[in-house]
Amino acid sequence: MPNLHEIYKTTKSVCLATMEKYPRVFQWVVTPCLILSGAFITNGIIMFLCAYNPIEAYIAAIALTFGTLSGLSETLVKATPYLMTGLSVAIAFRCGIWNIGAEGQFLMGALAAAFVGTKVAPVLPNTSWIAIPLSLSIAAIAGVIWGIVPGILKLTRGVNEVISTIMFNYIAIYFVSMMIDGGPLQETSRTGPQSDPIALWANLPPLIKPFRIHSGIILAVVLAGVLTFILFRTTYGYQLRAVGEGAAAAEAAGISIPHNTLRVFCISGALAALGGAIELMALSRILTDNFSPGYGYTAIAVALLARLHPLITVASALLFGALAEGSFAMEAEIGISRQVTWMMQAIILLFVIGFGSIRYLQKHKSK
Amino acid sequence: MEIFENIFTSMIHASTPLLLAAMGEVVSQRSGVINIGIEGMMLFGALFGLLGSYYTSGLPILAPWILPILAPWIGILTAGLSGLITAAIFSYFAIRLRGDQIVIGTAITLLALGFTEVVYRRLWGGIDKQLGIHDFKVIEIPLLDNIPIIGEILFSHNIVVFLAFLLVPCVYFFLYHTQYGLKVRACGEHPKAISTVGYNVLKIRTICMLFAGTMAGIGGAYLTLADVPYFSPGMTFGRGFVALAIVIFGKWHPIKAFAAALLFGLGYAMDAQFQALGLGIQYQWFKMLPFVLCLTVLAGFVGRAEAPLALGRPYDPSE
Repeated sequence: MPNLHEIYKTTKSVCLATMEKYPRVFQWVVTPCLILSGAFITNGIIMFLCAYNPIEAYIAAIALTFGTLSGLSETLVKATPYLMTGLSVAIAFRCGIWNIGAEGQFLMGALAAAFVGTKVAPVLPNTSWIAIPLSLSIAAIAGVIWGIVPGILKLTRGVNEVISTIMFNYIAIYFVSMMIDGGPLQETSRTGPQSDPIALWANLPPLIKPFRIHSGIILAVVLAGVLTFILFRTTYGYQLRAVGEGAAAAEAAGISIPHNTLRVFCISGALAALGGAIELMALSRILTDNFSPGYGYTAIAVALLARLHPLITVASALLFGALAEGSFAMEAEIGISRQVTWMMQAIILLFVIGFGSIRYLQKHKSK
Repeated sequence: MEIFENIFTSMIHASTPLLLAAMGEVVSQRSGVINIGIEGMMLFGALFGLLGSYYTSGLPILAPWILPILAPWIGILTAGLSGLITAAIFSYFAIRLRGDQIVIGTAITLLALGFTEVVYRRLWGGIDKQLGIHDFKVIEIPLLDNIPIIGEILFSHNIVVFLAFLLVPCVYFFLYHTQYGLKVRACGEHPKAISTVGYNVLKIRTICMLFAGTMAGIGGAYLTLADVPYFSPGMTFGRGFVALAIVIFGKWHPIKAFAAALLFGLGYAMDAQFQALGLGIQYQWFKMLPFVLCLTVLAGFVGRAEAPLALGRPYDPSE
């Protein structure tokens, strides 16, 4: 009969052998699982210290999220904004651009979609074939504008994009508030700080009634596929990644840093803004204050957990969608604030760093 | 004349938390660590400062006359401690594990937003409950406060304001006229050199970071101990990021950062005063002001190549 020490030794050698044999399995499956379980346990301890029962909370969250059809549908619905903003962050970070501005770009996209949906769509022919593409493209343009200004400031005036994009987030919050609270987009009855609902034909159609699951989700997943293709199969993508890996080397190889910087700011801004537009056109249809509960900041966690890979971002956005949905269950069940997800996200981020999954980022990070 | 006086008084009031956080940040950035988590640390400070003062006020063992004096200081202490602990977490990941400082800073801010909201819901059920805490009272410095206009603006504040202003020459003296300050600056410019002469870069950076965290915590506590007697989620609302901009605009120099803090304080003060006037302009314009001001000054007045050379780059002693 083998003793404990022998069992330990055999297990360890088997583990190490499998790790060497299947490095990708470890990279993409085992490490994320370890990160998540670590984060769940740490978060549980903090919840326990705040006198909540974490086990009860987690069971309620899992039961709602994975136990019911509406829970599954809601997970998909809530994952969509995380996916769009996550893609926006992933593409920017890939190029070594620290765009923390997905939040503001998301809001500006929603604002543009609200503007088209309430003011422009009603005077055009009443058909979705015009209203939806128009809303989405105007939203993307709004995102490009909100993204390119920090880019220009970085290139011409040397303003650190971390600070400028954060400032643009706050400006976007007040700009939206200005438009819907006393501004031109406020609802016709002028009672509350919100816009009118967008025209019905500017609405992104739902997929399966009676659930809220909508066609914007498909759009988001398709975009993730397109981005993966661009990033790994085209010259643009190659240049972009080259700049992110080492700006000096890329420049020496004849790749234009300013071009790539501006291009990435545009793509990144447009993606986040499309996320805002989809959220508005498919779900609430009304632009309100606090339209975004910090999607742009969570997006950083989403993208980093997916190691900045657009396709993996789909999976990580689904996870964050499930977390968000689960937090609603926790709030209903044990009364903990649903912003507990922010804490969870932060802990996941710290664990990601602890496991060194983003070490390749700093290895070549330009100064 | 009265509005002029009001604006400048509230300028000093509004710039104090910014100043406190920015002074810590100047030191940490001079040592090469960029701390985006100030926002989160201020938020922790605001919550724990309030709780510290609140629970001290309820202690039965103390003589009742000492409570109003002691309680706010205990608040400052707990707030500073909370900032210190957060900074320790930051240091572990950013300095020891050499993770990316921008990402860790964002994580710290998210952590603070989530945690304070959970505690807020737990304690007060989700409303901005006014607590009868002992906060810092305005003290008028005898004689000096009788000077017309200036007396009112400069010499009629709570004690924290005076201490925050005193901190500026202290930080200046520390950075430029002490041996340790020289080491700190060298860490930010050329960590390898300081390491070659036998000093521990990681230790120096950690100490600077802990100081920055403590100051950010105290800055946050100013909001609940000297401004409003309640906590509301996300109440720092970008002040941490503005403090970051102050450091850059102040070119990593404590005295210039002090001037920058006053300028941004003026931005916040104008918001409060103009809203009260009701000029028929939408209030959001004034709310935007500090942030637009930030962008304008950063774009207009700051050259490149001013930042400490090794800023934001983790140091690997084995290299």
